[in-house]
Amino acid sequence: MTVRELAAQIRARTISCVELIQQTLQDLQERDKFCSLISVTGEQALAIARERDEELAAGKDRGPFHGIPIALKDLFYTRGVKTTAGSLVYKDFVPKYDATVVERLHNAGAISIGKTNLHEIAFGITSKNPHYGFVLNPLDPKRLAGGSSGGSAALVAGKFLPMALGTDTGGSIRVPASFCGIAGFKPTYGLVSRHGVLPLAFSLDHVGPLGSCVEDCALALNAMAGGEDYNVPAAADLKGLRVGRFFFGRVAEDVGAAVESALENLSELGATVLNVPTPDFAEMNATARVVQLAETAAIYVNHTDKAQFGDDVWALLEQAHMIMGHEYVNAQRLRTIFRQEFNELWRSVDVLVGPTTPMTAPLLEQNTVTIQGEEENVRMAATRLVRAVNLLGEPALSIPCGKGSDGMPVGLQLIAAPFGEATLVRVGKTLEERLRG
Amino acid sequence: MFERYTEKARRAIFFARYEASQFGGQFIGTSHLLLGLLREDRARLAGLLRDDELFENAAVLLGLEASAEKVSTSVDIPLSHEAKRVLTYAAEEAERLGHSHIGADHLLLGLLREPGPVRDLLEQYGLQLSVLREAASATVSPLTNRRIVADLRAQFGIMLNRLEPELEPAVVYIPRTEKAQ
Repeated sequence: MTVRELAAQIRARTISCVELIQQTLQDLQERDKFCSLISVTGEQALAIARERDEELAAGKDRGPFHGIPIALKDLFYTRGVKTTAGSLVYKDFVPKYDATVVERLHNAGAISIGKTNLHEIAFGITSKNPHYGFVLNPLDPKRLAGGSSGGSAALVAGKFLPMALGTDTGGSIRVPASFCGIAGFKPTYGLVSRHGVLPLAFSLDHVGPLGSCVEDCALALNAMAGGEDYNVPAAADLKGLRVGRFFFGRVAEDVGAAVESALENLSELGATVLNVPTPDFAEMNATARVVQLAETAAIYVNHTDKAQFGDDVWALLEQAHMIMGHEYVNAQRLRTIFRQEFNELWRSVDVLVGPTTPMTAPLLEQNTVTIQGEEENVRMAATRLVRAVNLLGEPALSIPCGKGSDGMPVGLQLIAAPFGEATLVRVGKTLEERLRG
Repeated sequence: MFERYTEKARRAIFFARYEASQFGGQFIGTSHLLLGLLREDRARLAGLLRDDELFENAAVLLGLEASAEKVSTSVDIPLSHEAKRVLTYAAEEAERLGHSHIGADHLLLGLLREPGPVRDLLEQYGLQLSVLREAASATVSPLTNRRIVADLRAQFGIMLNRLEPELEPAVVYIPRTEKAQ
């Protein structure tokens, strides 16, 4: 169920906030075989739910999230509740305060039921966490849920709750959204506070929601960012909208077909689909990797005990320590060029549309994927079309757009100019409605 | 030829030669290589195979029959074409994983790449090339890390000619905090 549907039930008194939380906790106990959660804060959630019920009885309504169960990636500081980052390094870390977004969602009435599993320190996209278990895809538990916000995606895709919080440094909201067939929103860099969020790479980290639909994400943005109503309605048509069909290169055939079909739908809705030359994503990815490795190295410079990390994360940290100062600075200078190129691009298009990931969710044991005859590493393939956006800071939304030949969802990525969140919500909702038929 | 082989891998090949002689083979084939590995690296394989039956019955399952005419251990038994390919694959797998040595795991990967009854049998007992590759690559060697960074550096380096001297870095400073930390 969506936030709006649950909110309606709470208002109609067909369910109380306490009952909804009880139901969610029981559901998790019975059905969550996906290793989605690192810790469950059931009693705390029930205590808050009781308060929310009393408030409603007294006529105090906090808005659409009043009494709605949500979950937080275990990267967000929660006062008195351990925040592990899916790592051994932080396994006993109990923050003294709540992250700003956690506080804001709490004030908006949302009730966190626990902390979700993730790729260790959020550095990776498989969520095959060696310390807290592999997150499984609820649509097919033999497959990856994606990451790093894998547990958050699994809870939403498994229909345990309508919205969970994630972070995105190189695709960590959009990749799991794509693999799990849900909506994932990476807002403009800086729009949502990162205070109280364990960093991975300072200039690439974004906080955002994963939701059962675009509206859930928009409502969450309202609560998290504030200041503006991002929950704009779907449009009757998209006349006048300029859609840039960004060149996405090598993608699996079924993914390409689903994306083309979504583009046709946009066109049928009245949008003009343009073939615009976009700056080279491969170049931006290389630049983004240099920035990320250097910034992550800075954070983990004192963590020299290999035994504390999973093999894949340790390998990345070793690579991170090899990046040199001038390389980091030059990557930031290249960033200036890409910024200018994109400023230019936004004069001719309103949204860029393409696949989120070049393939559907791979099997758990897959280390590589073969796309159009070429074998590539799963992590590199999954981030190929999303990472560059973190370098720019533009807002990006992933929504499901059909199924691949394996029956798994295909993710469609919509990118807009900085602070173009409302455009993404409008286009996303309109397309979502049409694709649902 | 075997200087990059680990002690375990060398012993597995030594046992393969022994198995070939026991079965009166003129060549050391892929079946013998598997028997050698099963003998030498039992602990490792036990963790990978679905059950232990293969340790007891591999020869039967592979259709090998003991020969009355055992080949003397002093006679040089050459590797079959298939077995030679397996060794080449093993070296490739080591290379691909950035490992400087060739070990028993690489030989096993080699066997899984050569179509035939040995591969079929291994798959039947739950071994998959992709799974084993992942298991073997769990630890990334410093060499691989250096190669990955070198590749990134090469890709990145091409773009540097775009940097005019006066171009400044994008210094992102958007305050992280909304309240004093």
